[in-house]
Amino acid sequence: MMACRLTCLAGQGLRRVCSGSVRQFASTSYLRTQQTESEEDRSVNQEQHDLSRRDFRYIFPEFLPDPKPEWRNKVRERLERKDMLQRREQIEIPEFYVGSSLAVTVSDENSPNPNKISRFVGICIDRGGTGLRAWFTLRNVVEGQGVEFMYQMYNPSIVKIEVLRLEQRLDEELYYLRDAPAEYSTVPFDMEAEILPEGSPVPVNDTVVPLNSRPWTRKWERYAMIYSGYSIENPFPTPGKVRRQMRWMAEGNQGWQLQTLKYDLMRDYRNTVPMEEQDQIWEEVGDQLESRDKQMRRVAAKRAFVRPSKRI
Amino acid sequence: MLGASTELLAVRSLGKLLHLEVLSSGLHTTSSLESRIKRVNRHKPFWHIRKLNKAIDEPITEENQIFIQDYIDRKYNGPLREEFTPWAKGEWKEGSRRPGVLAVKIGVHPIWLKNGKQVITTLLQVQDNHVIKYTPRTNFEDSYVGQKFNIASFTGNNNKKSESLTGFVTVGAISTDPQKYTKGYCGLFTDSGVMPKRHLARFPVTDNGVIQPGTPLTAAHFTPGQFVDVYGRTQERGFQGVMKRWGFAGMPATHGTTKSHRRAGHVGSGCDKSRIWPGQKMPGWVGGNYTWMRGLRIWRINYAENVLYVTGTAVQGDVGSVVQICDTKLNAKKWENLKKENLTSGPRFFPTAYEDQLKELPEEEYYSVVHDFKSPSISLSP
Repeated sequence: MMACRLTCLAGQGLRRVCSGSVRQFASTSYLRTQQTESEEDRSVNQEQHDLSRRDFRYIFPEFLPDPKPEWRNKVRERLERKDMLQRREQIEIPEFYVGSSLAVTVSDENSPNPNKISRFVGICIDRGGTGLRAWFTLRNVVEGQGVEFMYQMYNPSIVKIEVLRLEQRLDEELYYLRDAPAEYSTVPFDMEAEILPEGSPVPVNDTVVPLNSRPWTRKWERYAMIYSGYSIENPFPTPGKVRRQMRWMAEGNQGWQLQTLKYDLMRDYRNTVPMEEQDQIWEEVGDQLESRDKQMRRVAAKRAFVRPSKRI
Repeated sequence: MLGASTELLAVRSLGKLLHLEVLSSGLHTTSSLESRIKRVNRHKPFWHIRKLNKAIDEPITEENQIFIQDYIDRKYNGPLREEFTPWAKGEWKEGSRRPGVLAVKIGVHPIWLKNGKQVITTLLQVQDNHVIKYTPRTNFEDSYVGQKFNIASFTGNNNKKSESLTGFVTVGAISTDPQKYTKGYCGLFTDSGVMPKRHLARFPVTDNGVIQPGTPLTAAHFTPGQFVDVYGRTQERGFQGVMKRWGFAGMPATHGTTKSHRRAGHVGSGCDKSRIWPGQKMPGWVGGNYTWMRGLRIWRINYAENVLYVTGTAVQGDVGSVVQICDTKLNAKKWENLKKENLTSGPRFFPTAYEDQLKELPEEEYYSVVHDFKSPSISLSP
């Protein structure tokens, strides 16, 4: 069995799904449409088609099951994927990455609006979960107060998910924004959706966020090798701690286990779903996802079409 | 002295308990002492016969293997015992009991209700179930097993609580290769004509709940919205300390506590009973015992894959374990009390769903309160 070709980041015990560092890949318009071909071309194109469907693991990561073998069951996974596809027929769950700005509209019984709907806009700082338990967290600063909302992607109370700005960041998780100045987490509520031209790659926003002075929610100085999205002015808390801290970092002492993680191929293998199984999954759901994406594109194009003004 | 003699009697009876034998009904003092001993149910019932065949010493030639396979195919080929006349199918009334099913736990995932609330459900797949046998009550009580089960209750033998139960129905799940099992075990299935099953379960039934041996059971046996009881073996947790096993409070982590943060602390009594009482809670093996989870609701049934969606994550065992499911015995959740769910006239198919009824069923059915993913997003506007 082929193992996942991507390599885990060292010390990335935080994420179970094997993910590489930032990669360049196109937005959903990369989903190629099926065309009539001759048989020879078909086998070649089938391979290419399969390869392009392999990118679905970045666009629809929740369709891949949790790799833990004790919890895996083919029947349950199939039923779950069916439910997910049915839900996707009802609303558009767009492609987004950590760092994108989203607006989520939910039915909320505690909403002050008469139609019981609330809307929240924020920057996605993390996403995870598999199957129907897929979730993502949005962060924003509202009236000086940092607010985070965790949404379940397949919750039927969600009325709409809009991607206001589709982009990636330098890291897969942005929890350090909690210890950064508020301007880096603020997304205006009246922001309009920025539509990217078709076929363009997802832009990478390589802003490096300067962290506030201590106290912090986490010991960010220890993760400086793992996360590249933030910078620390004074890495050492007090002058007296400089030598101890430097010694700690020099010994690679981020826990002895983390040093060996990057060499542990079996751990990588255990934490990924084999490529053959992934291909089977995309074969099962790929057609429906592609047709749905085409449908959504048509709807979006209609909306974006600007009627020409009358010439006098 | 009177005091001494009663104490001696008590000690002797406790000695019997420690060897896990049947209580003698003569002593009345034992109930308070016995309650300290928390018995854990880990063993299979004693009447389970030897199941697995020993490994073959000599290798079998290919010709003989083919011959054996041929014989098995011919023996189990064709429909199930259609030469027997079909039994009468009972009608439901209050107090009826029918057999349950054996299901495999395949996973856990959430579903949502129409008011927006989330319910985590366990998926239980009814795999290849058939009714194996019906044992009338008199047959059971006269048998060796029945005699062993005849424990005298302190209310006296004349108080027969379950008069209406006429017998046991044995249900089996997951057909397997007969070569794996002993002749005795395979012989259990000759009545019904099905292939030997990997798992067996026994359900007490009333007269109208009896199902003919050989009948397949599916998820349609149940109705969405009803409540069920699930019997299974819990997850193994290994040798655990007193805090996890018995819920002891432990001791403070700081403030001078010396080497006693998770220990039991005091175990014995004072002067008179200066010994540790039997049943003293101590560390030991946790898990792997057979328990009942009662009153779990069925929110959704998938008839195509025979999957039941049942409340909660706490169904016993890991993914892949087999559990027994039957109608609940809790009073508040019995059929006659399910007014809100409109199930006061019993299950939809009683005693079970047969072939002609199965054909008419849709692929999937939800309890009325559950949100169907095919319907649009929930709107709470008045």
